[in-house]
Amino acid sequence: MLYGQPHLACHECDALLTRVALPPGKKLVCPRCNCTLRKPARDPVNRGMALSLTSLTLMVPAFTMPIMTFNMLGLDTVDTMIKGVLHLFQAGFWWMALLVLFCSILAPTLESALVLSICLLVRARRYGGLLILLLKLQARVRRWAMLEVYMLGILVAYVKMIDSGQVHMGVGMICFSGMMLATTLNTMLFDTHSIWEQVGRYRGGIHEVRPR
Amino acid sequence: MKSARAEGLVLCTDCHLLVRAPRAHQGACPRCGGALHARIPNSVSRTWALVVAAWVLLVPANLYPIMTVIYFGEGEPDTIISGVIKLAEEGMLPIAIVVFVASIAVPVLKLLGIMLLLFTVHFKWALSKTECTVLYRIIEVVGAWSMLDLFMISILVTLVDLGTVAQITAGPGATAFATVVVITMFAAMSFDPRLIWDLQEDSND
Repeated sequence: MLYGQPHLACHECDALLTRVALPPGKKLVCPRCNCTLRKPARDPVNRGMALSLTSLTLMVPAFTMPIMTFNMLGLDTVDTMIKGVLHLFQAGFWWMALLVLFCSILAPTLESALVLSICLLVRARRYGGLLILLLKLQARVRRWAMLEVYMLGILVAYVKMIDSGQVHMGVGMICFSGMMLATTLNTMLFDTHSIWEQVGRYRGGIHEVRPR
Repeated sequence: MKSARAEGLVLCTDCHLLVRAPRAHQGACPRCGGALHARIPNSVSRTWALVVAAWVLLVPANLYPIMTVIYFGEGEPDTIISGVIKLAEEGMLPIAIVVFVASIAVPVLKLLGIMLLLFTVHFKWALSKTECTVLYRIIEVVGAWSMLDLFMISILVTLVDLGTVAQITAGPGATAFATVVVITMFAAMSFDPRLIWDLQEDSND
């Protein structure tokens, strides 16, 4: 059987452990290296869907509405996340622009879209190759979504410009904050272990693993 | 405590399924089809290559200007360090500390930390395995915060674009620094923390 394996291994120190039943709300920690092995979430699928939908909805205004406006000697400029990337592209810094585009816009969007589609597939009980592909993609993309860092970048830029002219936070900033919270919570709470086990149950009975 | 590898078992990196593997680098996971490896292949040499590349790129990243602030046609290009010093002189010490930590302390300490782990694995140094694992975890989490300077530049360049009155432009140092951040993140990913614990089993035998 692929599900209910009697043993599991820590992915950070390779300690072989005997599996115990985990009460809800508790997490399983490796006794050797203190790595969190399992942290089952209550209802991961519905919560994942709610958080992904929230972050995907807020992404549209967060990317396109003004994050900050700057006023100096009666001249106004507006900063949006998309404009920041385009500006770097036009100035010829395409590599940096690509990186900022990927880490602040593409990766978070992809992450939320992936979690949403994974949840939809699980709800529809379609545990085929597509779900496996999406789960693998999600594990690879999540570390490149750096919205918390971008948030700090906004704050540092704001404080830096405060003496030079008038800086105002825009509507985009509110949407960005909400979107960042939803996306980060989603990344932290989304529990793929339970979904992998459902995939295993569906593909079922390939072989059982026992230590020698 | 026994490791899964000593029992002839391999943990699938993609779906965390325990699989019996006849040899160290063989086969596909029956659940997700991912390639099975007992340890990340060539983890140490790959990480070394990335660490060396990152050190080399840190030179242009710190020598070339990352940003130029021009008010009324006047202004000097700033490197990472001169930018931090300028912030501190202008009385924005907290911000100066944040920028210093994100763009100087984190990349340098991260590279030194990875090198310490690599040396520990190579020379079988008797350091605390638990502390090495904690160091590895910090390195993994902290890497993304170096992007702070780059995000800030992308915001400032757009925000302060008032033609002849005031303008902020990015500099070539930023390109090098961006590459350093990406390379150090890949270096942290290619290091296999299980190598630290393998030392313990070798010495037990």
